[in-house]
Amino acid sequence: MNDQQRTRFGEALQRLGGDEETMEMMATIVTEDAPKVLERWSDELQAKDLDAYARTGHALKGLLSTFETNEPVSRIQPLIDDARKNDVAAVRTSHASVVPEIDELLSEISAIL
Amino acid sequence: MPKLLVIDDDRAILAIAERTLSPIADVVTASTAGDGLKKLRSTPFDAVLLDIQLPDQNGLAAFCEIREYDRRIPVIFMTVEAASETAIEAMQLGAFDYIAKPLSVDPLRDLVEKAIEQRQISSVPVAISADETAADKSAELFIGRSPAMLEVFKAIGKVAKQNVPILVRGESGTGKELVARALFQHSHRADETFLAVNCAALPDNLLESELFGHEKGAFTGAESRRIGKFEQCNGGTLFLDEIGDMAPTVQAKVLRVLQEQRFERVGGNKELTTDVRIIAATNRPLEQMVSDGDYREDLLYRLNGVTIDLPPLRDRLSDVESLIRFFLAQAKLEFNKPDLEGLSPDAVKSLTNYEWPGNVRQLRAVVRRCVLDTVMPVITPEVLPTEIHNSPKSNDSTTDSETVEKSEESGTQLPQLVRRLLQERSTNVYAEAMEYMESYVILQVLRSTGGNQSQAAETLGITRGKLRDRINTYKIELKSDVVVKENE
Repeated sequence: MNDQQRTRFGEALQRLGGDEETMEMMATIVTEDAPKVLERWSDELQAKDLDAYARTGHALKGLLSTFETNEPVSRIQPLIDDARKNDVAAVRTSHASVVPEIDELLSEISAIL
Repeated sequence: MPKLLVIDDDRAILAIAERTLSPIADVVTASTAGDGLKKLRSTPFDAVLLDIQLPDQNGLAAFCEIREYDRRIPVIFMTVEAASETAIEAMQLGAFDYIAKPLSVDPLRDLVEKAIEQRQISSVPVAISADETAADKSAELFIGRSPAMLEVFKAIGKVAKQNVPILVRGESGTGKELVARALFQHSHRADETFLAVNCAALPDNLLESELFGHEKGAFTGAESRRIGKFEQCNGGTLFLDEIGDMAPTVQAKVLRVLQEQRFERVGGNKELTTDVRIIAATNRPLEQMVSDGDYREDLLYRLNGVTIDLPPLRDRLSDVESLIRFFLAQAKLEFNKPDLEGLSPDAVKSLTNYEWPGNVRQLRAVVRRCVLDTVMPVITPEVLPTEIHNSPKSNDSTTDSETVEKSEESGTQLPQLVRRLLQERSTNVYAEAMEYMESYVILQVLRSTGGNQSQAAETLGITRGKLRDRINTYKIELKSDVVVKENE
């Protein structure tokens, strides 16, 4: 990890007791798992399966929150709430804007490796 | 090494748990509820970390299955929504604790260590079991077989059916009202009315009206005639608690009822008769108050024809275990804790070594609090209030508050005192805070009168006897300046 990454993910590193090795291990897992979860999430919206969409959103939020608890991860919960309310239109609008931000976060995480 | 089962479908969580917790436990992981439950049934575990949302089953349902299999395993929930209703529900169902995601390794390690420790402590056979059938066996008063209490039972048996006034003496919390009720229940008046009046809880004029009633217009606000307790209780038993805190005018009227069974309502001329048995109680030194001119000697002799002395709990510590068993069973039923097994030997040791300044009332409050607080089937010393857990044999727990009380500028530290008592999970907050405040008020007023007790009593609106009693209680020295004695 370089200094910039240490600052960028300072809170996450602190939660892990400053252990950079664990941080890198987490980055590996998230880099491997998150794209698949993200893809499934989009598919579930496409299929209008909002129950599954809410569950996957919850899993995605858990996975990414190891690195980031603010935006864009904090934007996932309102999406889960809208999905539980079966509000497809609201979910579609927010989903479209949050996915690119999550992609960007994933790039930052994979850069740790 | 203790064994920990972690059930979560998030690989990152499993990895963190394995890496962080492997120095303190053998970590076994499962990514579904089904897999986790299978592992649980094949290997004994000391604690479980459980995700609240699993792919194949809701975490709460998995928790119920774990409990069904082994209700002693502490289960810690992990949740992304720490304040969610699910987390609250988990705690209500008996989870050991819950931890918010993203996980922070230090609090996680501390919590798992605590859970494992609890598991080990609660695996010790209980010293006192929470047997619900003990709850309704007998009344609280009749618990205990110490010689001091046997004397009390004998005295109740001897005098209950005699139509004489009785004085019950004992420290606060020893159960004076219970004795009064037992006397009533075993008397010839058992089918009649039983009323209780706390003489210290009402200002003197209101107490007089409460006891004897008043006529319409007797004083401002007396818009209609009111029947007092002596009239209301005709044929029955009247329990006068804190009889030492009674103004001279009321003392005279009570004496007359005792002598002649006659009285008048406040503001009335008509003489009324009543047939009331009086049971009085106090923890005040009435003989000293008589010597000081603050209590009527004739009333004392009328009242103390028969006296029952209730011992403080510290003088009958052999009864503590029986009392715990009774209160435990009561609380288990009342708070619906069917899984509660009882108290560990160490917890019982702490409770039986403590001096119980608040007597049986305090013991009851502590046991109830423990039953409410515990999430494990066995109550261990960690659940006990700090003052009992940490200093079983001494009164060290009161040292701080005494220091606060005795500080020259006392009165300024009430918020700190209350905060500390709450932190220590004291079960005596009200009494300690009131004592602190009372000593401050009395000290300040005495200073303002230069130590003149008559003036101070007048300013305070209390009798000189009560003031003198408080001066002794709080060890206030009346020299050239009013000070509180140190080192006592």
